[in-house]
Amino acid sequence: MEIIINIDDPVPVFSQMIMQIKNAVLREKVKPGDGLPSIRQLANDLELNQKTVAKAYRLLERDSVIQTRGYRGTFVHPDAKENSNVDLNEWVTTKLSETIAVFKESGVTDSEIRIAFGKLM
Amino acid sequence: MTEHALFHLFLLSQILVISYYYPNRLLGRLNHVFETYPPATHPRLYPKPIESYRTSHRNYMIANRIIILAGFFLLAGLIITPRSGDWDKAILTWFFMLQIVPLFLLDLGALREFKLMRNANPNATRRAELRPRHLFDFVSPAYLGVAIATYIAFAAFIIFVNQFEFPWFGGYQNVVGITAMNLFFAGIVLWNMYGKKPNPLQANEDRMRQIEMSVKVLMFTSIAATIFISLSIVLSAFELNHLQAIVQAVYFQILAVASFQCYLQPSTNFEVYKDDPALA
Repeated sequence: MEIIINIDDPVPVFSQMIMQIKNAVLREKVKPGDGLPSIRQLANDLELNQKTVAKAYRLLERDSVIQTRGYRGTFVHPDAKENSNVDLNEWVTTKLSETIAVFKESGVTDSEIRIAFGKLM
Repeated sequence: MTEHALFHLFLLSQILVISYYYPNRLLGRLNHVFETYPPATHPRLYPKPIESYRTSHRNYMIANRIIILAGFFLLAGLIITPRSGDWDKAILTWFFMLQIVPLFLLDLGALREFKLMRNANPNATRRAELRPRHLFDFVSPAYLGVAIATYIAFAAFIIFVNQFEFPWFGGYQNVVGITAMNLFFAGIVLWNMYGKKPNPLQANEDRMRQIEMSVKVLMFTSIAATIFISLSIVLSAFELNHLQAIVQAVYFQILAVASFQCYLQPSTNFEVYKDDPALA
């Protein structure tokens, strides 16, 4: 199974990696328990900064698509297939859209929403 | 007298194997690549005009011919000059170092070539295999076991010989030396397995084969060096120093044959060097 990234693509490199690894899991190109390359190996093969690959792996681990087993390496999570369907970015966008719609219905202006958001974040 | 004749025979063999036979095979292989995959169909393989490659290959051949000539003069000189076995060893070592200089320069040239290839083919699309590389993908556990067993046996042998307090014996420095060599080789293996690939266009299957060959050759060299040093100690202990140069000549040839295998390893996928927009 090959991973292909395009550094000129407007989609960030770490997102391309996440999408391709999730796709590989969904299409069963990689199976639960399969080993994945180390951050160093993948970064050198793709000629990327190790931090970029580490970020992709961190987010995949958060989504329970992969799991790190200490010095033994990184593996595909047992529930990877189910978890690969969950898109947290899409979920956040949907939730925020619903919330903003409620604010607007109540007459809150865009700038007031932005100020409130700025205070919280 | 017999030892001298044997030594001369092995020196002749060293001259022919390292400076004639293998360089010719290497150049034959490079010419085959030029003819089968010319710049017209595989432009990405040649970041420089093809004439510059022919010039460097001609220089490599000339350097080897000069070394062969020097070797024959050396051999003739040794046949007519009476000397001790220690001189034979020193001469052999220096001559071997001279013999590997052209190969070393060719290797440096290849590294520069890969850099040019990288610059000439800026590629926005990058590929990687989504599977980890492990040592046992390249060597069998049995082979690694033999290398480790050789090292442990060598350490035990040094401890044993150390009891006899030979004045010429380096003691534990031998173990330190072999350990340093093995650590250096381990570093090269790690760099090969996990580092950036030197040839930016190389296909994955060719890279895997190249790593496999490097790992096997390095492990073989480690075993050969350990056995060679052990044998040298045994020969010194039994006062058979006159055989040292012969053993050394055989050892150098084994090393050279092993090293040339890395260079003669054929690539199988030349599609990556075609000027195909789909690959760019």
